Amino acid sequence: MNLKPFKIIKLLLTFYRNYCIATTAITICCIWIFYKNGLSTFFPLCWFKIGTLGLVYYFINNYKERDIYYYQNLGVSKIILWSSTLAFDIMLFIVSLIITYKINAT
Amino acid sequence: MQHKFEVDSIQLEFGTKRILSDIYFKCETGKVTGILGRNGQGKTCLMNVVYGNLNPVSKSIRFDNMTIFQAFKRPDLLTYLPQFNFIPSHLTLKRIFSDFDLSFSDFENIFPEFSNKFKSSIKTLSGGQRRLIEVYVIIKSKAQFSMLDEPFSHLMPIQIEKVTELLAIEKSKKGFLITDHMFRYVTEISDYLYVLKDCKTHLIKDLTEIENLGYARI
Repeated sequence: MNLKPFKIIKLLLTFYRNYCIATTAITICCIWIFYKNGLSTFFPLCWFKIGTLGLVYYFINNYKERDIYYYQNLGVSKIILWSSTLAFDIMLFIVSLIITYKINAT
Repeated sequence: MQHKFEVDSIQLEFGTKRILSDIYFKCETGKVTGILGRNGQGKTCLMNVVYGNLNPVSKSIRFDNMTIFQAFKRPDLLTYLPQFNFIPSHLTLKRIFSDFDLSFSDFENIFPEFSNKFKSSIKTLSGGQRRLIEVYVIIKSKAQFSMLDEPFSHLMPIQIEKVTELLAIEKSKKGFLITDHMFRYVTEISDYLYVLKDCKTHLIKDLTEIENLGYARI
């Protein structure tokens, strides 16, 4: 079964949907704090974000453990699901921080 | 071309408790292999070991003599129906059939009671209907082999008959490994039958052996 890239992305988005609301809310909070307090909050916010992603990983792995078989039966392993969606979420966080920094600087 | 999938040398232990130790079974395309066993004998563990989700001390799983360690990475070789609901509850039947590249009208022809459910999400279905969808998509999945853990649970007798008919048709294209406590259905459709007892698989040549192994009264 060779999955088409579009299908893989669709499955990854379906999985990301499980936790995107929580992580996006955290990202928005971090951006707001960064906007108000500046560069000095960069590292604490990064650690906060990583910590909350760890919690999300723990809870989703427990509560959505059974769903993993759906993705596996379609050729997307647990490692791919987590690495892709977490990488996307972290990238979104970093890009948002950079944009906020640029806005603050101008 | 006939394909073969063989499993042996599995050693699975949880702490000091030995779960599986002397295992051998084979599955071939065009055949159904049934595994029976009392509760707690390790049938589900065995399937998870084969699928690669459970790591034993040792194992040898070969598809056409090629060793595969993580079968879940090869849905072209093996798909797996776990004993619980595994389809994310918010997905619609339309999406599920599209993901598995299956025709909903073929499904509707066999199970007409689903004719107005195409756009419904799976969580709106009853437990039996939900299980039927899961059983159907795995049976029809485009893999050489499918493992079915308790495919008949939650299904009505009439649905079980339709599923066994479907298995008989689909086995011309692929091989199945089935375990279920509704052993009469399993013995009826199986070409090879094993009983898992005391960590070992016992090949059944005569149905009376099932009784001798203490699994069921024939």
